Formats: sequence, C-alpha cells, structure tokens
Amino acid sequence: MTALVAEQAAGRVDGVVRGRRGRQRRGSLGGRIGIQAMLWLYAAYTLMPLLIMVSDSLRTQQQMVMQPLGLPTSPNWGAYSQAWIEGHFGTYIRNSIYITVVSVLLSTACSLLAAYPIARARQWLFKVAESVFLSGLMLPVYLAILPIFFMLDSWGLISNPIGLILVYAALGIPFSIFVLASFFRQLPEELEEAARIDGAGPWRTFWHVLLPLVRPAIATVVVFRFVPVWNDFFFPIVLLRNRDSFTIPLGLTQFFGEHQSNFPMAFAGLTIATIPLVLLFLVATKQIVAGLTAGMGK
Amino acid sequence: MKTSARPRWRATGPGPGLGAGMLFLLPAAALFAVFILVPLVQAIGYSFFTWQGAHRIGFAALSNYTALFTKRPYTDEVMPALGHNLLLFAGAMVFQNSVGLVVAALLHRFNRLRRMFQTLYTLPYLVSPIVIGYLWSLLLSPLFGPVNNLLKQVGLGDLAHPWLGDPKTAIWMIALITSWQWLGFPILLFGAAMGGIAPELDEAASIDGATGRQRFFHITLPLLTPAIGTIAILTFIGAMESFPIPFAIGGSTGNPAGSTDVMSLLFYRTAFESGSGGYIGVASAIATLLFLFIFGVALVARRLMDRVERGLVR
Amino acid sequence: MNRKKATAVIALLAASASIALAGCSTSDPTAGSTGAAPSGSAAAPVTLTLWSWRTEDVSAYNDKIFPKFEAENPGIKVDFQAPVVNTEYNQSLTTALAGSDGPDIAMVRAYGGLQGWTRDLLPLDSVVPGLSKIPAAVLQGSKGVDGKIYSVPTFVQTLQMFYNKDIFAQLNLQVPKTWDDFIKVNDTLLAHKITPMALGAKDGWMLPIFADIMGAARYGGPAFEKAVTSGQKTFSDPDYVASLQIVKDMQKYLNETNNVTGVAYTDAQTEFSSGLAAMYPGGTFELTTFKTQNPQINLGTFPVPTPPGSVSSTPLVPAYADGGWAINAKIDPAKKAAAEKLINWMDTPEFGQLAADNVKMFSAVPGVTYSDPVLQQMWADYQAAPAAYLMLVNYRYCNPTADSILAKDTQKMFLGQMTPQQVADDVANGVSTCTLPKF
Repeated sequence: MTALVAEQAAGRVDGVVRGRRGRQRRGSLGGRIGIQAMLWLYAAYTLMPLLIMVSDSLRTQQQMVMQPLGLPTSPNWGAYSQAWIEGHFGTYIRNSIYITVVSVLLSTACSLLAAYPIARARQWLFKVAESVFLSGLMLPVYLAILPIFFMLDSWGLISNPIGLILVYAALGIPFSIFVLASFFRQLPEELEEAARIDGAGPWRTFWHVLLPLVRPAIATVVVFRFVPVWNDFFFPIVLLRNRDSFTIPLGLTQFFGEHQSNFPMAFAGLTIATIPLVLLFLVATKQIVAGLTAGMGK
Repeated sequence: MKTSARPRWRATGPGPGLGAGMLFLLPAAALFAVFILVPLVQAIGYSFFTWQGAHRIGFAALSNYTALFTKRPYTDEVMPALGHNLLLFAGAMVFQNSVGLVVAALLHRFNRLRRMFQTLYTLPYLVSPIVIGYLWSLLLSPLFGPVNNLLKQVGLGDLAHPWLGDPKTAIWMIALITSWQWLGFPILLFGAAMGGIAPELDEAASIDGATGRQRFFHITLPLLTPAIGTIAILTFIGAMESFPIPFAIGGSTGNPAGSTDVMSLLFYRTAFESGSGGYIGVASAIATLLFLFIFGVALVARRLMDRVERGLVR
Repeated sequence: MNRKKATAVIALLAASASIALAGCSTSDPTAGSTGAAPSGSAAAPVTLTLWSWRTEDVSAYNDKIFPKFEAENPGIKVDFQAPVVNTEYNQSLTTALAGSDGPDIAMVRAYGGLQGWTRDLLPLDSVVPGLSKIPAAVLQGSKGVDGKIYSVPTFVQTLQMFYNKDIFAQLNLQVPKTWDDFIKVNDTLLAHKITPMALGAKDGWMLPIFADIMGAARYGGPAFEKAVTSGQKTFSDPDYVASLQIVKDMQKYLNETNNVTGVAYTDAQTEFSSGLAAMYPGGTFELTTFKTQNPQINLGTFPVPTPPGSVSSTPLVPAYADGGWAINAKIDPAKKAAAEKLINWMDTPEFGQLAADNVKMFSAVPGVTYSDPVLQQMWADYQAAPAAYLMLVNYRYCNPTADSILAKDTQKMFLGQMTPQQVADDVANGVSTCTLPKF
C-alpha cells in the first residue's frame, strides 16, 4: 500500500506543475452524445416499471384489462384513499420507521467499534473474530428462524418491536464490519502513529482521528442496511402477529392477499408502500453522495 | 523472539492493544453471538432430528442428509435448484456488475448529472421485493402485460414470448429483474472506489497520450480489483441465498416446472409446505449444506483475491 | 502447529455443541397458558381468538356470523382474525401453536395438511358429539393418523366448470350434455376468437384440480380411488393415463395455448370475470372472487360430460373437505369451556347456514340449504355424482405429495417435455414409498 501512496504523492506534485490543461475532456462529440443517450435509455428502463405502477394505480380495473398499455386519461384517485384506509398504512409506516432506524443505528455503532480492532490489531483473536463475523455474512439467515422464534418467545418479545430490532441489528453486523473494516484498513497507518506519538489512547484515536475519515463508509453502510431491513418480510411474518405491530412489508403482503385481483387498489397500495423510502433516499442522497465524494478528495 | 509470543495489552504499534480491542469488540460480539451464532448452531442441530410440525420426535443422525441424495423429491430438486442459483450468479455478474462497472466509469466523467443518474439507477433498490415481484409479473404477463403488447405494437410481435412461462427464459428473467433492482449497488461502490483513485494518475497518463480506453483498462481497472473482488463475493452470496424475488415471481415451487426453483425456496417449501406438516429436519440439512457450500467457495475466493491483490502492489 | 490443533478442537466442540444445544433449546416449551384471562368469576367476559387464512371473509365472520353466537352466549366474545395471507398461514400457525401466542381456536387444513399440528390440538372425539352425523369421507379430513378427530369440518369445496351465461346466450350455446357437445362449444368459441377456458397454469397447484375436473369420469372416480389406495392399481393404469391425455388434448382450448404456463392464477380469474374467457374450471372457493371482481357477471356451472371410453357412466364432481376448526391444546384452562361451547356451535346447522349464506361456500354440516342459485346448482350436481378430489384427499400424507408431482409434471406436459404416460409413471413412482393411513 505504501508504494501506491508514494506514487500518488508524486503524481500530485506533477499534476500541479503540469497545469490545468489536463481537465479538458477528450472524445468525439458523437461519442459523448452516444454515451448520454445510453445513460438516459438505461434510466428510462430503470424507471419505467415504477412509472407504470403509479400510472396504473390511477386507472380503473376495466381499463387495465382491456388495454394493458395506456395512460390514465382521467385519473382515479379513489384507489388511494381506499387503500390507505383499508390498508392501515399509517401504523405500518410508523412501525417500520421505528424498527429500521433503531436497528440500523445499533448495528452501525456496534460495527464501527468492532471494525477498528479487526482492521488494526495484530492479535490472532481478532482474525478469528473477523472470520466468525464474515461467516455470518454467508449464513442463510432463514435457517435460524425457528430457534430465534423460540428464544424471543421465551422472553416475551414476539409482536414486540424490540425483538425485531435486536435481530436486525445482529444481522447487520457482518456486512457492516466487512465494509467498515476494509475502509479502516485503507487509512494510512501514519495517522495513528502520529496520534499515538501525541499521546492519544485507542479511544481518542478512534473517535477523533479515524472516525471522521470513514464517514463515506458509514453512509454506505447505513444505506445498505436501511433498505433490506425496511423491506424485509420474512422475519416480521414469523415474529409479528399483532396487526398493530406490523411493518410495511408485512402489511403489504396482507393487503395484497386481500386485494390482489383489484389492480388499481393493488397498485395504489404498492405505491404507498414505496413512497416513504424513496422520499427518505431523495432527501438523504445529497448527504450520502456528498459523503462518498468528499471523503475521497484527500 | 519475544514479539510474536506474548500478546500486549497496551498498544505499542498502530491499532488498539488487546485490552482496548476486546472492549471495542464486545458489543458487536455479544449481539452477534446471542442472536445469530447460538440460533445458527441450534438450527444446525435440528438437522440431526426428525420432526412433526414444530416438535422434535426422534434422533435421525445423518439420515436427513442422506435423504437429500437418495429420496424423492430431493433427488429431483436439490441439484437443479443449486444450478439455478449458480445461473443467477452468472447473470448477476454480467447484467449487474459488468454493466454497473461500465456505468460507474461513464458517470465518473460527468460531474453535474452524476448524482441524478446515481439516484435514478439506485431507485429500484428501494422498492420492496414483493412490489417488484408483482409488478414485473404483471408487466411480463402474456395476457395483460404491457411488454408483449408493446412489442406487438412496434411490429416485433415475433419476439413476444411467455417470458415467465417458458422454463428456458424464466430463470433469466429473474436474473434480469434482480439486476434491475440491484444495479445501484455496484454503481455506488465502484463510483466510490473510483473516487478514491487520484485523478492525477489519469491525467498524467492522458497527457502521455493514452486513450480513454487504455486508461480504463490499464490504470482504473487494476486499481479496482479489490472492489471487484468484494462485489463478486457479495454477489455470489446474494445469488446463493436469493429468496424474495424468485418467491414473488415463481412462487414457492419455482414455477414453471421448477425452472425458477432456488435453494432458499427449497428450504422454505420443505420446512413449511410439504405434505404432512413439514420436514424441518431435512430443511435444516438443506440450509446447512448450502451454508457450507457458500463458506467453502468464499474461502477459496478470498485466498485467490489475496493473491491477486498482493500481485498488484509489487 | 498449536494453532491448527486449536482450530480443530474448536470445530469439534462446535459440532457437538450444536447437537447438545439443539437438545436443550425447545423440545417442548412449557405448556403454559395462552392468554392472561383471569380465572374465577363467571361474569368476566371471555374473549376467544380465532385464526383463519380466509382474509376475504373477516368482516363476514365478525359482523354477521359470530354476533349471533355472542347474543346467545353472553359472556363470550369472539374475535375472528386472518392475521396473515393464505400462503403464509401454515408457517404462521405452526410457530404460533408451538410458541405461546397461538389463537384459542384455529382453522386448520384437512387430510395430510393437518398432521403437522395434531400434537398441538385437543382431540375432539368426546368434546363434539355431533361429529358422528358428518359423512365419513368429509370427516376423514379432520382425523389424525392416530385415528382421533382433531377438528370440526368447515366447508366442502366442489370442483366443476364455471361458464359465462351471457357469452353462451350470445352465441346460442347450450350447456353441453355430451362430450361431443362440449367439444363443439369449445370449437365455436375458438372460431369466434373468445378464449374457451381460462387456466392459470403458471401456478402449478391448479393443475391437479384441472386434471380431476376434466378426467375424473375417464379414470372412474370413486372406484379408481379405492383401487389405487388399496394397492390394486397404480397411477400408471391405462385409464389414468387416458385421463391425462384428455388434459393434454384440452390445451388448444386454453388461453394462450402455447404460453399457458405463463398465465398466473389471478390473471386467469380476471380473464373469466371480465368476460374475455367463456369458461373457467375451478372450485367453489372462487365464487366470491368472481362476484367481487365483477358483480354483474352472470355465471353458472356444469360438470364436464364424460369423455369417450370413460369408466364412469355419469359426469362426476370431485370434492374435498377444506379444513376444520380446532382447539389449541395450550388454551388457557379458564377459556376451555367457552371454546368447547363455540366449537360445538360450529357443528350445528345454524352456524352452517350462517356461514353458507355469508361466505358462499358449502357447509360440511348436513342440513343446510343454499339460497344462491349458483350454489344450488353446484350442490345439486355434487349430490348427484360425488367423487373425491383424489390427490388432495388421499395423497398429502407423505412427502412428496402426489399433487406437487402432478403439478410440476403437468406443466412439463403442456410444455411438451413429458407425455401423459411419463407423467402417470412419475406420480406412481413418487407415491410408491408412501404408506397411507387406515381410517
């Protein structure tokens, strides 16, 4: 790794000396237009199903049966109010937010702490710990569903968000440690040396020196844990019975079973279930991407 | 001589010492041990017993494992399911990761619109697999689906196909739909990794006369090898454990004709839906074998990657 | 060297730990109470929770059916829930009954599907004396392989051909009485570019139902059932193969003929209810769905006429018991008396009538009359020529189930990958290791 750093350092000096000319983009105009076209085409392919979902929620059943491909000529908003009321989506959204936020915070915090010694400490114990955590990554999680059920049942945590929070937090640890440890490893050791020379103990080094530098990784980890936890329906289906405690995916499965052949209602429900996460992501994406690029500039 | 023998409690090099390190490790280790490790070990234990419903009724030693290779329906189902998982992995490497790499490289150039495209491409990742499954089932339906309709309208009616009804295409549809959902993942990760490559390297090369393609293949790609390796392993694990989308599209029996059956569906079906009340012992055996398979392959892959990485930093 | 040994020792310890830990975790969770119902004062109202997979019927039960019981039995409240959808119900109930938060009374599956739960349910032989008046074929669905009765049968589902009366009237078609008439009807519809029959072959479980609707008469219904369950014949029998050939011959009348395995179950239902298809082979359990999808639909039913060469001389209507009501073995002792009262009430014609009227299905309890004309027609046809839905009734006691094999192989048959003979042989082979319980 040090060879690379030296090379980069040298390049930095050279780049400054050689000037700004290098910023000009090469490539023909046709090539650039072609690339733009491809990117937009792919964006259309990405969005089309979602747009169809929204547009179909505004059409009537007969319209969709007769003419599968079409735009809503007179938007029918009735499906949404019906879906919201019958689908109890308000409760589900609240539960999903609570469970997801707390479990992701918990798993990220625990993983951050654990990733530091895993990346840096030399002792054999931490290599073993890392392997054990990584094996958790390969675990087909549904294998353990029954023991987890019985365990939580004996503690009275079925249909209780705390039970799910603990399970999700534990499930998030392998992936989070995987990503965070690899980012920690990429940080130059000189920083820690310098901190140690300045007299900082492991906690100070961790909190003040290293943590700010892995912020992009934290953002990545949070996003990639938030979404699977939010969308998971396997654990809620076994661990939540009380309708008031349902999360969105479970509520959606329920809603679906009842209204599947009513296309507009079904699509309206699907749209309602998707919107919260999309909004969250759109709001947070600035932070996420800013974080991802800011940390790289050094 | 003394350096490797005794662990030090206080740090003398970079990194925490043993004492502080263990404290840092504790919360994660505790959570993981209680909610993952112990249940996992118990669940593996289940595979050595016979079951009726959720009650253990007898000791089975290895008979659940041997049944997988000697008794129906497992003899008809285990190998095809595993094959489908591997197909999903291949599909993901091509449709998802390779495309993602190319897209990330293209986006790397455009500062202004990059964020917008990244957001757009990552949007499907946010959608619940149930939603995706139902949505795509409808889109591809031969009766009411817009896709075949569109093909007919633009005169490509010959291409109209029962995408989800033909065993030959169904599994690839699942690979494509999964890629559609997960494209943002390699784009974001590769994008972050590319951002970590000093632009001056690229510029120096271009000033020296290297074309875009040469720069990509000789500078960017080699430096991305660790990221590629990481993504490949994660993709492999995801493909081997794929559950929500095959479940939503092909149902728990892997319709049509078992062509979309994957190991996780086999587990689910065996544990909860087979005949007289479930075969949890056999299902646990299936999941244990799957785990060992994934573990073995990931271990080998890791060794290979380490070797490649070491070769890079010569 | 030391490290390698240590790793080996750890692996060995882990392996034995797994077996040991599995042993001490959950073998039989304490038979505690289900709820915190206070025992004691008879005046305190008892609430019984009921679970079912029929999400479609929740309001019917809570608003129309159980209030009658509550009025007759002050002090008992009934809370009917369908907490999860049909497809996840089995797994939910399994964990609920094994854990501590199960319902007091649960709707359970019939025949083979019941067996996984028998340890968690109370035997009802002495609790519900009225069970003796239920026909033996129906009652079989509520029995465990140990011979005890574990549930009160709920509904009987019959399988027949639905048809759209308006389309038939438009094309001057009559309900076919012979096989030739039936083929003519199909050909006429095809000529007018109307889909003759809608079938969702993508969802394999519909296919054994279709096979029995079309072929039960050909292979000889009850007589064949007796022969095959006693071992005298196997599924490779030429009559059974011929019945599968008929299924294959019908493919040209199915929606999207060559693409029929791409049509989902719900798509086929929508096709029929919106008038794009003229006929629909299905069960009583779909009537509510059609009426909900299209309240204006004018439909009727008929049993499929006997194909040439049929063993049976009359058309047959295959049927099966579709589940029962069972009491959780872990029920709170304070609630037990109330639960027994409720379950006895569910065995009365009064309940059967309420259920039939509001949920539009056939009650398993005798003495119920049906006011809906479609139900009347279906019931009359069934009474005239009853048969058992062979695969579900008899062959779900083992793994693999015969219907799962038939489902997958029929899909392959439609795709041209298997012949009827091969399908029959495969089913015969799959059930050859299954010993059927003797009732």
